[in-house]
Amino acid sequence: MNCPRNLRHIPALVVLSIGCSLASADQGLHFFEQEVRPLLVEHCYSCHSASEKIKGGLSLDSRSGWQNGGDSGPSIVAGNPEASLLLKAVRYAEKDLQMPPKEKLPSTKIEILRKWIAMGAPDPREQAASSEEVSTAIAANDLWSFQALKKTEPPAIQLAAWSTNAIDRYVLSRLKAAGLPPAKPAKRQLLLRRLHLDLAGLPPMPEELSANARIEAVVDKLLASDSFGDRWARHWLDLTAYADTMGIGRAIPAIEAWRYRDYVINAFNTDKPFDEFIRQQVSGDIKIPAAPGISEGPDPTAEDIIATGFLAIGPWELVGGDKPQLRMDIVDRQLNRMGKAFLGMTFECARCHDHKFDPVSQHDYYALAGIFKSTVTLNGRINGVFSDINKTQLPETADELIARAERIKQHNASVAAAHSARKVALKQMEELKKQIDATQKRLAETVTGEDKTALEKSLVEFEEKHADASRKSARQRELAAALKHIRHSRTKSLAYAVRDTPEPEDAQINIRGSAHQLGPVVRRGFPHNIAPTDKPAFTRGSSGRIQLAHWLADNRNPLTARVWVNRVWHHLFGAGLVRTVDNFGAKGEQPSHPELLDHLAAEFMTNGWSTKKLVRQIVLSKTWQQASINPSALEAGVKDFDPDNRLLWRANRRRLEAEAIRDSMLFVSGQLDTGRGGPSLPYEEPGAFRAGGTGQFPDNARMAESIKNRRTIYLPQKRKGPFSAIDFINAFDLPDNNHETGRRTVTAVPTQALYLANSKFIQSCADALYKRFADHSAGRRINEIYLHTLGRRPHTDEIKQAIDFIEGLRQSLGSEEKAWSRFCQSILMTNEFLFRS
Amino acid sequence: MNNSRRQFLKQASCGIGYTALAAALQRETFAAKNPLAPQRGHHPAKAKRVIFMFMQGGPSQMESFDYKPRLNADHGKPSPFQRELKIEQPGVAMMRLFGSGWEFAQHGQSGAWVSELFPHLANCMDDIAVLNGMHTDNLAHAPASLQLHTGYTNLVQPSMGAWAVYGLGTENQNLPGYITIDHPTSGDGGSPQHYGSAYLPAITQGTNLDLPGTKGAAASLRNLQDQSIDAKAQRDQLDFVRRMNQRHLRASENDSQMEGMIQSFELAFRMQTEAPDLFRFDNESEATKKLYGIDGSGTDHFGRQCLLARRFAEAGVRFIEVTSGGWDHHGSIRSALPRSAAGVDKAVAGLITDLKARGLFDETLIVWTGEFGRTPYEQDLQNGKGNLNTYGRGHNPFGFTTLMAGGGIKGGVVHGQTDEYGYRAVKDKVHLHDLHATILHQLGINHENLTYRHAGRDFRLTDVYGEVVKGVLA
Repeated sequence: MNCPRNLRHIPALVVLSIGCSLASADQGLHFFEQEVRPLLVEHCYSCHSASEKIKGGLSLDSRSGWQNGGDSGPSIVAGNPEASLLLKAVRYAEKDLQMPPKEKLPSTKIEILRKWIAMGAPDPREQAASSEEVSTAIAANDLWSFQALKKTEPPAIQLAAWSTNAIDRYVLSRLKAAGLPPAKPAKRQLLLRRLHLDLAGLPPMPEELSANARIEAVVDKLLASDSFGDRWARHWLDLTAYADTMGIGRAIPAIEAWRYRDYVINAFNTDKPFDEFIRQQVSGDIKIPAAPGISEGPDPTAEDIIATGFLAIGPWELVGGDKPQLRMDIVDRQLNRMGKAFLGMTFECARCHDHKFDPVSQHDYYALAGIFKSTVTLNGRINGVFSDINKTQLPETADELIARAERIKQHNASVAAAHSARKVALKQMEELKKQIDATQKRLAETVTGEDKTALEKSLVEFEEKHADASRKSARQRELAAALKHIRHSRTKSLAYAVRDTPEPEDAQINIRGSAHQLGPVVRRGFPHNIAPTDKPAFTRGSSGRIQLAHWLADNRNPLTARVWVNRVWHHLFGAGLVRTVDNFGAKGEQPSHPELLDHLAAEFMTNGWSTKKLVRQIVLSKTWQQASINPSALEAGVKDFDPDNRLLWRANRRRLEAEAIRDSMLFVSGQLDTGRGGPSLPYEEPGAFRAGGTGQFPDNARMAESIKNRRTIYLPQKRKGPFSAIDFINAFDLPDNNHETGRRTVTAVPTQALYLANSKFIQSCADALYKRFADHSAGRRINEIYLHTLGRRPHTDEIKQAIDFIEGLRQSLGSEEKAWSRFCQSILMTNEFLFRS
Repeated sequence: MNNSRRQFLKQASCGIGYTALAAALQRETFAAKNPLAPQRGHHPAKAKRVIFMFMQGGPSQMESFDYKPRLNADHGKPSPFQRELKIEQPGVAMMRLFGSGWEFAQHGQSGAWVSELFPHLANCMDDIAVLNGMHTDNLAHAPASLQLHTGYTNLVQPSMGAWAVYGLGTENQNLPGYITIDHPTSGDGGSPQHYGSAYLPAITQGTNLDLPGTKGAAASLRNLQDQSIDAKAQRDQLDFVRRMNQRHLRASENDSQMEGMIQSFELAFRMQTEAPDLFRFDNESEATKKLYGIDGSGTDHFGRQCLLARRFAEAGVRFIEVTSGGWDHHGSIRSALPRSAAGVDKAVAGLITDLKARGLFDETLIVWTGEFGRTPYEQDLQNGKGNLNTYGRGHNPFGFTTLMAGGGIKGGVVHGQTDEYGYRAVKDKVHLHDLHATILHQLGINHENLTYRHAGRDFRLTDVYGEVVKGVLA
């Protein structure tokens, strides 16, 4: 079912049944049957009846239907038409409350309704208001994910080679029950490739494939590498709708967003405990106030403040005229993001009505909404028109102060350089203009052949030089303006961060999600049905985000650890134990191995919420290390009862994500730039930034050359349209930057094939890959190319095929180099390269 | 696909009809193979495809198809309307009524009123339904044009073309199911989100063609072709890749994702051969080009878009969008509007004529609309110092005009009306949600049953709204 987002249909109508009817019962019922019922059937039932729709929660096809009422509070006062909202609605008295919405009723019909209400609204229709939608919400007791973690003993050892790890014992016992043998262990080469791709997002190099290191040592080395954060931070950023521009209308630069991106990468690389990760992102900016028995907390660090970029950065509509609605839209978005990322809950459904499927009420929603409403996200204007994200000055160490002084110096120097380069160009233009004028004058006087030709020639030269200088001057002017635009970010240390409003306040219920139709105030708090139930009290003068963060990261919260452990499992297996990784509600999926999920979640918390320990535990399991084929299971008919591999009878094969494809292509061709961190927006690229007005990136904005070959996570991300040069990755199901998602879709569309076949990017990688081994003999070259890209040597028949193919290409392309490059490109296009198995 | 079979059953028990369920199950079984395969809708379709014409900026209804004699009579008087609060608008509106500077006359057997700015369309009025009671929710370009394309103002959602392809697949497997031509992607009025698929399968999103402004230039698609290699060498290359893929597939106990990749390569190769010919007008007669106004003048660019649209329609593309920008007449509307109108008038009329001649009109739904309309009162960007010739009109989401034609639409109908000044739709109002519902209806889709489970709920193009506009159906 859908949630309405605006106000076109605002039904309104609950009834206070006063029942002091003045008309006789018979008379009243007769009037109802003759006049009122046909009117309701004709004009109201299509939106307000159990057999059609129940818009606004209101049904008008039974007495109890309107007695129980809809979303907008009491509205028929039986016996008192003037106090009844129903009458206001049909009279079109208020702009946002006009029923029926299409066209006003004729006045005769309005009079019928008035008269009926004045009679006390007699209504014989008995049947219960059956709102299937409302009654489908599951009770908290019945939702598995709301129950406390269940502690179970891993099943007894069932297969000697599989005994090592609790994961294996849970998985194997289920396989055995289904009569399925597990798959054989993956071959070492394949396992190494899988490990490198899953943990670092890059394939292994030949020396790593040939070394004899124990798998444990390989895992530890990968977990300790910076590449781990480069890959796993991206998984988290998918859940935060991260981008380097703000606003969904224009590509306005989000100058400081990169700090949050770097924070996330660093959090994964330092294995920041996940509970701390939550607390920082939700409430890092708040200093814990002193309270009886508690001393005041330390000042927030720069990292604490930056972490709240989780809430501050997003696809905010910055030009909407309706600022109160905009504010509540942001609150909604933050609440959803928090709910989805940490709890696997879809709170947004409760914005307009009690959640139809999950035990979350509208009251719960606005209790949380008050917390975010007491939080400043947008602050100030850009150029007087666009709302800006709040920026907080970061505390600095002495070293940082010195570094910043250096930055300021450099910035000033760059501005000065742009100015003086422009001056030089202007001066050149002036002089060239003089020469042009003089030449033209002489041309007018000179008529003879050779002189004339020479003069004409030099005139063309002067004009070309003049045009050059003019372009240069324009570029420098643009550059100076861009540098001016970003001056504050170079001369101050600012982060996009949230902060508490000066006077935190509770929110009012927004009827049907409208910030202009307000219902009762709801005290800030936490969802009633989710543990822990001894919810922390709010302190005066604070939004409550600290308490929220602690409630989220409480060991007794049944959702938080389960949701994160399941996300990690999803990224390592290609599917979660609960495959609906973002939805642990009634409409989500049940876990395939509930005891295992609880076991992992409990152990995760015992291990200090360490993500790296969790990853290590999983990838060292025999379950994860299975081959991706299992002929015995197929023979046992597994396709008939578990085609989706929920029992984990083999490893899942899957296409690499967009980033892994691009990064791997750069890596195997020896071009990957290992530079990391820092701002990535291309202000200083001529033409990539329009400095006038608000300042925005045009559609064809190019990335800075200096970072072009870095890992994808360090490249700038736009909210609409990519920066050119990385449109390659958009073809491979990069999620929309404006949607938080824990699970990417994977498609196979022809645009991908066109990119693989014809794009400059892949061709440049192919060229570089060939050049890497150009010195080798043909046979050895083929060998190296296979090893570097596919992690294996070619089979004998493949060598022959490759040689024939290259020979054919050499003839049709007429060039050895081009033929080899095509061959390299072809290897990069294969499923074997693009998939991890 | 997002959902398991069991979830579909769960969903079905929550009120989604059997048809949708059956379609969903059917889709699930072969989606892995080809999500673009043609599918049957919920009911017999009147239109096989849509040509959607986006008049970006918001054309003035009072100067085109919504004749308002009272507005002309009261020109210069204070407007009786309250300016909407909570709304920020550029420039100064003194709220004086601003009459249309153009003559209106009735045309065709239906006698529909058309202004003199649209002389060619005036000859087609018996084929066109005029919807004069349109309204929408937002008056800024970005959210309003997002809503026009996706139904939502504040969320990034799948575009109507993506929904159509998701629901119906497409007829020609050598081409994308949804093509946009020169769609604006920057500034307030443009965005790739207009033709995006959001959470729907990526293959349903619009493929945007570049169409250079140069006279007669052909359209192009990025990376469609690689000039450095001939077709045979490319075929050899794809064969090499396919051999490797098939070998790998055999060793992998088969895999639908891998098969999907192999097929997408084949489709790409077919596109490489079919699309470039479609982009060129070599085999179009001079008379046809002239019909569309392809002659290098102000009608050339939109004319080429419309001719391309006809060629894609013939080739079996499901949803085609063309765009004419520059309708945002805040100032100097009296000199600027004639150019905008002339820029599209001939081409749209030419397209209708051409489709009819080829027997395609009845199965092709044409929609012509802005994201909103304009105010009947003047706007003066010069802060009260301007004069009549510099005046324009502000954005007006409360009343505007949309045209529909072909594809089972009743011609010669004027449906709905605004008040006597053209400000608010007052009778037979049609919201953008209703327009979307009607477009899907003509394609054979019940808009309430075409849903996609995302973020825990079922989304659809029309949110919880939308009613088919029965008054314009043949």
